[in-house]
Amino acid sequence: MSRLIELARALALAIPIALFAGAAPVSAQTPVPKQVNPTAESVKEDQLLKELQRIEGRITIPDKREAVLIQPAGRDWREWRQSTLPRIGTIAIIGMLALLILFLIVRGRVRLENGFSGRTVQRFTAVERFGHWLTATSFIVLGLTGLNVTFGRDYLLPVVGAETFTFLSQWAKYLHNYMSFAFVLGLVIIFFAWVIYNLPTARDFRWIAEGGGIIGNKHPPAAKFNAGQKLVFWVTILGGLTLTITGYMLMFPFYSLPSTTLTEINTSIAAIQNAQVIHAVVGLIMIAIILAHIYIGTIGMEGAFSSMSTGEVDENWARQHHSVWAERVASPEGGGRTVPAE
Amino acid sequence: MRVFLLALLVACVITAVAALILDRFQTSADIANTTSGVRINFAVDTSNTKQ
Repeated sequence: MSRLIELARALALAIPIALFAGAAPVSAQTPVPKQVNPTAESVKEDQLLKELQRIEGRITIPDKREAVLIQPAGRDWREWRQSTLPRIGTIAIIGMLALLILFLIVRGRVRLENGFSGRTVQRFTAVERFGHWLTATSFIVLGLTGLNVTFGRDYLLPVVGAETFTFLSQWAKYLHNYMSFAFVLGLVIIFFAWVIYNLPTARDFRWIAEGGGIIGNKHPPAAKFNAGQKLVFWVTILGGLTLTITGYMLMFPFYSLPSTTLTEINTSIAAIQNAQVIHAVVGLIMIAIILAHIYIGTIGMEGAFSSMSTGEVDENWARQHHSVWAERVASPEGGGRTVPAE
Repeated sequence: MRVFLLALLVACVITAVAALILDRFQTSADIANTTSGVRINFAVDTSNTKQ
């Protein structure tokens, strides 16, 4: 008797299962309806994204954006971050280094045509040099630690191993965040120290037309800063400002700000992704341009580095590269401060 | 090069001060108030404590 009951129970369970199993293939062959049921197990992720543009659930916390689990824009950003950005970086940095090497081979070092005179003039004050070095040292640290974010996993990790790379990357991240404040202070100092000398003038167009005296043998007149230096100045100031804004958006994402509009921007996922894109591209372009600046200020031009090390340059250097400025400082109105070199 | 060394020193001091301040800020930001009245302090422990 008890066996019969067991058999009946087994049949009662088996019949509905068999009916359901038989019906399943039929429904699987029917076309997919427009309205996709996201909770159905048979729905594939790609199909769901195609239909709904994003995958989201239901939540009870106030911030409804937290319900979004997958969004196509996030995938696009990841693809850009992992493949396009390293390509841009490689082209910008390796390309610039190749150009500089080629330039050094073809043009050679820019020499002082009349040699050193033995007399110097003051080019930069201590405050100007302090602002320059504060910006420069912090930018080098920010640049190297930023490059680790983009290229570290591909190039540094295989060389140093996972444990060392983790240690280095963690400290690089701290340095990148905290040293940004020194960079911002440096930007403020050099902006106020030099903005008056970096406003464009008609002389700059002539300087550009004549290749700045680097291409060829002409030395177009220039005041304290020539058009090339003005370009570096504005790239540093405007690029630095862009890096600052986007960098602090990335450092403090999703924080409320005093303005409603700013809060909306800072709490939008798309804005944070865009901030990362802009931050990375501007940073890489600035690294490439600053490489050229370092080259011309050191091995590329004879007599240039002393302007930032001691603050003084040779009188012949001043007359060759900044003739208008040299005339001004040598005149009695300009102070006429030429001193014999030690 | 004294100016360079001074700038380097100042950059390091600013970095250290920023690290100290932001570390404290980060700790305070780890406290979250939820709509259900539960206060979560991620910095102290990972458990929820009702206030």
